[in-house]
Amino acid sequence: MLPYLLNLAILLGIAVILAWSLNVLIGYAGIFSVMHAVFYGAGAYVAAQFALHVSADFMLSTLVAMVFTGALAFLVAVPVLRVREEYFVVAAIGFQMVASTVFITWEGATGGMGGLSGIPPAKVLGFELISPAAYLVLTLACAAVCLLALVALVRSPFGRALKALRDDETAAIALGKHPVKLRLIATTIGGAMAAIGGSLYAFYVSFVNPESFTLDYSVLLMAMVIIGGAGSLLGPVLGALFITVFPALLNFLQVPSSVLGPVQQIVYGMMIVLLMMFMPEGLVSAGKLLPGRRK
Amino acid sequence: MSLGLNEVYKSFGGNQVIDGVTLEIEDGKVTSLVGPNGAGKTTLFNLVTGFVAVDRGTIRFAGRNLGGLSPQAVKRHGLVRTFQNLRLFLDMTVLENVRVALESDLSMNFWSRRNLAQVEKVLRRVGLWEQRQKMAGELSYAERKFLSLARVLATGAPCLLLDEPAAGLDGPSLRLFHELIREFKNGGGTVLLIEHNLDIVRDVSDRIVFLDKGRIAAAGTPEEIFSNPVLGELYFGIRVAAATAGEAGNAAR
Amino acid sequence: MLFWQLLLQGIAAGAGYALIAVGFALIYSTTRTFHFAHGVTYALAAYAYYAAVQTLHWHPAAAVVLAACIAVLFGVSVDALVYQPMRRTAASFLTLFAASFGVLVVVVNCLVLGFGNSFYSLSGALSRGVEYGPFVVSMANLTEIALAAVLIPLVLVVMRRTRLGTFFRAMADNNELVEVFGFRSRRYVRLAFAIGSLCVVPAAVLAPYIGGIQPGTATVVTLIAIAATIIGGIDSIAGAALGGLLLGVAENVGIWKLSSAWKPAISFGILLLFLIVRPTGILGARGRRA
Repeated sequence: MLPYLLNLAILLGIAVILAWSLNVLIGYAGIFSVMHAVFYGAGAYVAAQFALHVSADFMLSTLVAMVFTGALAFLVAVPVLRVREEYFVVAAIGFQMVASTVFITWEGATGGMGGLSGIPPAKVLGFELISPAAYLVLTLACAAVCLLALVALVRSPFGRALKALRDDETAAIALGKHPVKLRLIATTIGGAMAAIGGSLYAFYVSFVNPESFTLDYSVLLMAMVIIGGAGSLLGPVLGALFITVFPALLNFLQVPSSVLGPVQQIVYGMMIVLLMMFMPEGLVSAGKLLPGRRK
Repeated sequence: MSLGLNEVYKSFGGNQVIDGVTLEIEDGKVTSLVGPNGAGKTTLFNLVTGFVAVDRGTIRFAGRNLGGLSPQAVKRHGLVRTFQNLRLFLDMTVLENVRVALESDLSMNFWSRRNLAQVEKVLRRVGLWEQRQKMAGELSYAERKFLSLARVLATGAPCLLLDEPAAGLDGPSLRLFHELIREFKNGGGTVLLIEHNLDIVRDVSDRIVFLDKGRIAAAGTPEEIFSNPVLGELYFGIRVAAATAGEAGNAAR
Repeated sequence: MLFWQLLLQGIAAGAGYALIAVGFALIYSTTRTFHFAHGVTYALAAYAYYAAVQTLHWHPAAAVVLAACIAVLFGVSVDALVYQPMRRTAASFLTLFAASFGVLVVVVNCLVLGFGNSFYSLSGALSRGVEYGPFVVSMANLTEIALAAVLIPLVLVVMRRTRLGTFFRAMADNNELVEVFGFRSRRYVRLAFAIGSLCVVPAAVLAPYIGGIQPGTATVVTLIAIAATIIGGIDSIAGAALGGLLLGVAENVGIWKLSSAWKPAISFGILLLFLIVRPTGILGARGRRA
């Protein structure tokens, strides 16, 4: 039981980090990105390659992964953010599809369909992390760092400018804010943070392949943020909790595994529909029960 | 530091909304832009502040050409505007609304004492300091109008373009508004004001400009304008005789 | 040689995409709704046809009617039950999109529960190949091209020459204005969804004869329809058709030189290219801000 729970906790921690990173785009910058698994994957692959060929030091690998993924996010965002809202959604999906194909075909970097395996255990300050408990501590530490970063972001002038942009873009522009610049930076930050999740995943599972970084997972991440409530710190946590724990619950209730996948999706889908209709602010707004305000 | 428009033209889909406007807004003075709905007043604001590009003509401020600049750049050059429908950040507090106006968006400077001092000064002056933690969406109508004003005052910009800033304000609020404008003007600031309320226009302006169908129909001091029977009739629909008596009464208020 | 064969297949696929894209574009341009669940309409119609013919042994014509009814019913219902209530609360574009997406996820997975994940196909007169010299084309492909060639111009004619079309175009230009003038735009929104949903039916009922159907195609089809619409120019129905044709051809010809793993990436690669280089699309003229 304990190993199972530890595993669940670690995966939950990674999901929370990913959901938080996506929230920077969706909740703070108002960018409806359905391609976040690409940044997760990029972070995982870079960390994996670094660990395999240079050093298994966790902080170093993660840093490298963050820089690379942040740069990738920036480069993708530059052309894509210039398009209108509706197009951005589709562009993001399009980019995800292209990226998935790249993950599969670029054997040199990603190991193709087979992926990269045999990733050495993470080293923190010289110590090799082997046990799940150790990885849990590492995950929690990373989550804490991410939380601090997010709190700092929200309280900074940058965070306020983003909020103003979401609230009334025209007024924000009149007061000197640059929407594209702000969104570019937010996307870069979100991408870099996703790389943390990717790195944790790569070291913990010691194996990465394209199947973990598909459109389906991007959609799941988006669902976490939306169901939990975008734009808040607690929302993504609730969303990640719900989506990570729910399948485990279904398992417990002995729902047959052939039916598990679709049933999960149906529940998520229904939740998204109902929430968007009646509680667009997500689960986190359950206390308020306000009608959704126009963006 | 004056704001000058020279032979500005703008049309939208075949409609000549601004039809050759040449205007000099004097420094340190309050100029009111009046005219019927659809005369092009807000379009003029949009042209000056970079939200819309001119078809022909130039707009200069403090010796620099504002043509082709983005609204953000225009703000950097010292002109800020308000909106007729306010456009407050309703999901942010009063304090945050003003902070956002002052701050540079890239600064990671969380806690600039100077910024906060400036914010406090402005909020106290407009009487919103006590409500600084309230959401802008929870404010009363008059409070919202003053928050809109506070935002632009806080930026420290020397030139304000205010779109119907006093509409719907009464008695004490109106007096506060006059005081704020007068203070700003006395500090060397320039104000261009769109307003429909004639009492406000008369009391606050140093100069009045009439815009009609995209052209300047008349311009002058309040005395010149209001004592001109033709203009009075045409634009205000007042009969001069009755008006004189009425104005005397209003002036006494 | 292979190239021409692939080109032909591409045109056939493109014809199907064009029909679906036209439906999406009609709905979007008139109601400004990003009907992400449009692909579901396609999938439901396809499965309805399949079930009617295969399981219930209906005559294909009757099955087509059934598929059409289901498509229209679904499109109009989603609008009435999900989109319209949300429009009333002035939900943002993204909230509407998310809800639409949710509908897609729910229905696709219901289809998975009902039919499973494997491909279902039908064989019959339509799936038989026809030889034209060195090329082989299936009857279904030919039918699809023929239907598209007839129906799409028909839609365009309706848009240009009929009162309904004029009204649709007025809605596309300015939805609020239309409401101000007191027309019952609600009725026309429903019509837009009905006709838009109907457009997918020819492609949907032919699908079991061509590649087979699978619940996952709903998502892919939606994405391609949207891509085609954007590439063609978001306010242009003819553009959407053109975009669909272009993508169909590109996808099939593309695998001449690239491995088939690249197939999904091709369409999106083209879409991204357009978004960066020419966001207004092939036939789009206005880059209107929402």
